[in-house]
Amino acid sequence: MSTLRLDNVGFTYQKGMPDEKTAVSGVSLTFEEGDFVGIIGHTGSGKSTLIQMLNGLLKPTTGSVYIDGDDIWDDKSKLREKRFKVGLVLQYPEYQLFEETVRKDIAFGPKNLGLSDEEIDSRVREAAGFLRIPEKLLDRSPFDLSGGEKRRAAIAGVLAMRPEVLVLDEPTAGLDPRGRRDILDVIKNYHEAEKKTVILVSHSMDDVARYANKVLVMNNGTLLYYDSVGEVFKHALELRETGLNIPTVTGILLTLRERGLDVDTDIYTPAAAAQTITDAFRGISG
Amino acid sequence: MDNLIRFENVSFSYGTNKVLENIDLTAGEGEFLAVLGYNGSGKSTLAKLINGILVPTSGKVYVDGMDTSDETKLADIRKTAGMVFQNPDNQIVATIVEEDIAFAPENLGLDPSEIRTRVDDAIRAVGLEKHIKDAPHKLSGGQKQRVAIAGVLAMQPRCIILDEPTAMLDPKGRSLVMGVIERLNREKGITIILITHFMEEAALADRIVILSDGKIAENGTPRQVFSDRERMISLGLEVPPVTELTLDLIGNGLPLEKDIIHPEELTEALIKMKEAAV
Repeated sequence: MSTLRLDNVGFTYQKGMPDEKTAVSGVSLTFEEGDFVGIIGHTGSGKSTLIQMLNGLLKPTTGSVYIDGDDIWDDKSKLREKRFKVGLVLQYPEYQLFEETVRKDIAFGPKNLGLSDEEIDSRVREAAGFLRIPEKLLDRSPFDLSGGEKRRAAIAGVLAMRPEVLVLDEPTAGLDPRGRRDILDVIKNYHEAEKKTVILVSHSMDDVARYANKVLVMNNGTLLYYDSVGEVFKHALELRETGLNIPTVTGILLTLRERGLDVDTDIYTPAAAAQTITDAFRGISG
Repeated sequence: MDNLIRFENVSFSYGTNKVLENIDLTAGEGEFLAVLGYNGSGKSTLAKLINGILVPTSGKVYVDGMDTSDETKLADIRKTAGMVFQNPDNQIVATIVEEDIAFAPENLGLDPSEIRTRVDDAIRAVGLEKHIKDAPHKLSGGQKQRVAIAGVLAMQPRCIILDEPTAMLDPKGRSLVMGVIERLNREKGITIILITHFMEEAALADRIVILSDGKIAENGTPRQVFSDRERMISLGLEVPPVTELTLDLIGNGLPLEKDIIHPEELTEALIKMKEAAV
C-alpha cells in the first residue's frame, strides 16, 4: 500500500522577504492507493506549487508530506529514495529530453538508480509499451519525433522509475485533439493495468470528468473541494463563481432541469447525458 | 466581402519536405476564419505565409492585393496583417506594458501624441487599462497574451492572425482572450484568422478551414463542418461536446437538427420539444 498524505501543508515563496507570497496554505488530505485524481484550479490557485511538494521538489514551509507514513523530509539521507516513489511529469516535459536516442532518454532515470543493464532494458520496454512508443522509434533521436511522440517519450522516462504515484501537470497542453486523446488513453490504460495512483492536473473539466474518479479543486491557495467527481460537480454554481467551468454537458443538464425537464444532473459525459435526456422524453410521451 | 487575404495555388516546402500543397484560400474583409488541423498539418506555415514571414515555394499570397514575395511591400503587408503567437513570453519586449504596446508604432516614426492615442485605444480594446504601468512579467498568461494583441492592434491592422493564442492559458484566460478576439471582429470589423486546437473556439468563427497533410480537407461554416463527426475524427479532430451530445440524441431517435454547435441552441430546442409534448 502506498498512500500519500498531506498534513496542514503550506508554502510561501520568498518567506521573510518584503515580497513574500503564500501560494498554498493549510492543505490536509490523503491520496489513496489506486485513485485517479483530477486537480483543477485557475492559474495562481496553487496547483503547481502543491504538486511540486508531493515529491519533494519544494519543501513545505508549514506542515508535512507523508509517503507510506514517513515524513519525506524527516531523514534527509532517505529523501532521494522517498522521492522516487512519486513520479512527477512537469508541463511541457519534452523540453527536458536531451539524450541521443529515445531509448537512452527513457533509461536515464533507471540508470541513475544503479540497476543492471537487463533490468534497465526491461524497464525501458515496459515504459515504452505503456506509452505506445514503437520499438523502431527507440533508436531515433528524440528531436526527430513529432510533438505528441516527444511528450510520450518524456512521460515514459518517468514511468521507467516505476513510481508508486504518478503526477502529471497538464500533460495535454498544446497538443491537438488526437494527441490529447492518445495521452489520456495511455494514462488511463496504465492506471487500469497497474492500479497505481494517478494525479492529473488539468484545465479541462471534460477530461477530468471522463478520466478521474476524484476531483481536487484548489482556489486561492486553499483546498476548496476534494471528493468524488459526482460530489464536486454538484457545486456547479460555486465552481463557476471561482472562475472554473463545469463539463459542458453538465451545464446543459442543469439548465434543462431548471426549466422543468426531469433529467439527472450528476452526469459528465455526452453519452450518459444523451441517455438521461432520452429517458426524460420517454417519461413525457409514455 | 472583398478578399483581403488570397492564396493562389500556394505550395510550400522546407527543403524536400512538402508542408503545403496547392492551397487556394481567401479571407474576406471582416471575416472570422478558424483554421484547424492536427499538429504537422501545415497550419502554422499557412499563418506565416500570410504576413510574409515565409514566402511560397510556388504560387502567390496576396494581402490587400500586395504580393508577399515583393520585398518592397513587406512593411505595408505587416501593417495590414499583424500576428500573435502561442507563447506570450516570447512576444513581450519591454519592461512596462505601455512601452511594449508602443514598441511597433514607435518604429513607424509616428508623432508621440499619435502613439499615445494608439496605445490608449489598444489597451482599452483588450481591457487592461488598469495594468498599463505594470511590468509584463507580473501579469498572468492570459493578460500577457492580451498585451501581445494590444501591441499588434497599435499598428491598426485590418487583419490579425493568431496562432494558437490560448494553448497555454487556463479556461478563464482563454475566455477573456476569445472575448477580445470576437469583439475586435464584430465591433471593429478586423479580419481574424484564428489557428486553434479548441473546437469550441472554432465554433465562434464564420468559417472553418481544415488542413490535413498540407491540403485543404474541409472549408465550410462551423455547422457544416461539425455535423459530420466521423469525418472530423478521421481528420484527427473532434466535435464540440454539445455537438457530440446532439448527435447521440439524434441516434436515440430525438428529432433534432444535426448542426447544433452552441449549448444554448440545444437547450432551447429541447425545451421547445418538451413544451410541445406536454
